[in-house]
Amino acid sequence: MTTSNPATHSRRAVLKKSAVLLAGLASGVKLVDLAMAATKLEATDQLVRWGMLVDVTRCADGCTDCVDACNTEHGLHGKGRPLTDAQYIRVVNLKDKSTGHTSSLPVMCQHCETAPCVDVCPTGASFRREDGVVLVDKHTCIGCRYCMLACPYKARSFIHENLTDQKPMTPRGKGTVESCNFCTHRVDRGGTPACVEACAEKGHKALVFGDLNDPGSELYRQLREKPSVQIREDLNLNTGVRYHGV
Amino acid sequence: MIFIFRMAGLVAVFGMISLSHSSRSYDQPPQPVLDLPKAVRGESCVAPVEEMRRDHMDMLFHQRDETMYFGVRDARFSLIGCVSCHTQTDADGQFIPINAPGQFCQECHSYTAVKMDCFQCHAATPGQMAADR
Repeated sequence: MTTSNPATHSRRAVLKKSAVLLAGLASGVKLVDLAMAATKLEATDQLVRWGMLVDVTRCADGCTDCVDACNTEHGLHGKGRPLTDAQYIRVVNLKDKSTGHTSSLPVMCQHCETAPCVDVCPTGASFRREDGVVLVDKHTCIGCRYCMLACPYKARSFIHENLTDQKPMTPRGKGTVESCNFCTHRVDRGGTPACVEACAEKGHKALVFGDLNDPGSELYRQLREKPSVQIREDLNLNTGVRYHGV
Repeated sequence: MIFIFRMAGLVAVFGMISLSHSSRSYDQPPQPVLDLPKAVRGESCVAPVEEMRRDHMDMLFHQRDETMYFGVRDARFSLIGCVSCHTQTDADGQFIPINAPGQFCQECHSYTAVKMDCFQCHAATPGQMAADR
């Protein structure tokens, strides 16, 4: 996935040539169609891999700002049943038994390169986008929940009941599995996930989102400067979410 | 005797079929009699009415994969686009779900007896993010 696809580039070149050729001839509708085609090719670039760095040293005990922002963004309303309520971000509290040091960190879908959920999905509903975001195609999901068992991070939730008042950008329905989607509706338009935005707005700046493959990105710079780990690095999943200070 | 009755029955059935054939014109396809609410937002639909009626499901089906797998946003076709233009508001200014009885999607789907599953998961009202779709 790190190399660019020559087919993509040649298609792009053909499109550009066609656009030039047709510029004098074709109607406005044709040009609009061509412009849209170009948008599609550039929409998810293979060189991009979205990722996140969580600076746990900046995460205050008991802070749930990212979780609250996520719930608001995606319309997740708990029913007071912590075991089955949908959660995209889960706050995990750690305590070092020998020293008594405590830390609290958000754990969401880690957007693995070799995602176990994608491996086990019997219908192909769990998939990884070319830019590294792991998603569920809910049109294809049959709700078997193999992915929930396979995920080492307990990142996925199952919707048990009929829902109403879903958010336009987050379709959710009974009988399907869901998890953090890195707010693709924001990211596709050049934005950042709701949790990252909220964390920065509240002044914590514990979450950094960006392109793992872009040397110019803030994420790339911070990962270079700070020591960071993947949770369960032993599983060799090459996660997109990294932690500093765990 | 029984044979004669059977024959008479068959003749009657054929007669009815031929009558029904002669009474229907095939020059014009049957036109649905629907009281569809007019779109309240947007200047024109993304395609001519005939094309929308015939192909809207394919457009949506195609676009959903483009968006989900390739992250193509703000394309010509989108379910959010349908909802944002065609939802009506009630006397209090609240949005009426587009799949409610008599509303744009539901009116046609009731007429054609096609069950619509979209709004089990998708928002049936524009919601707060419709403006920046």
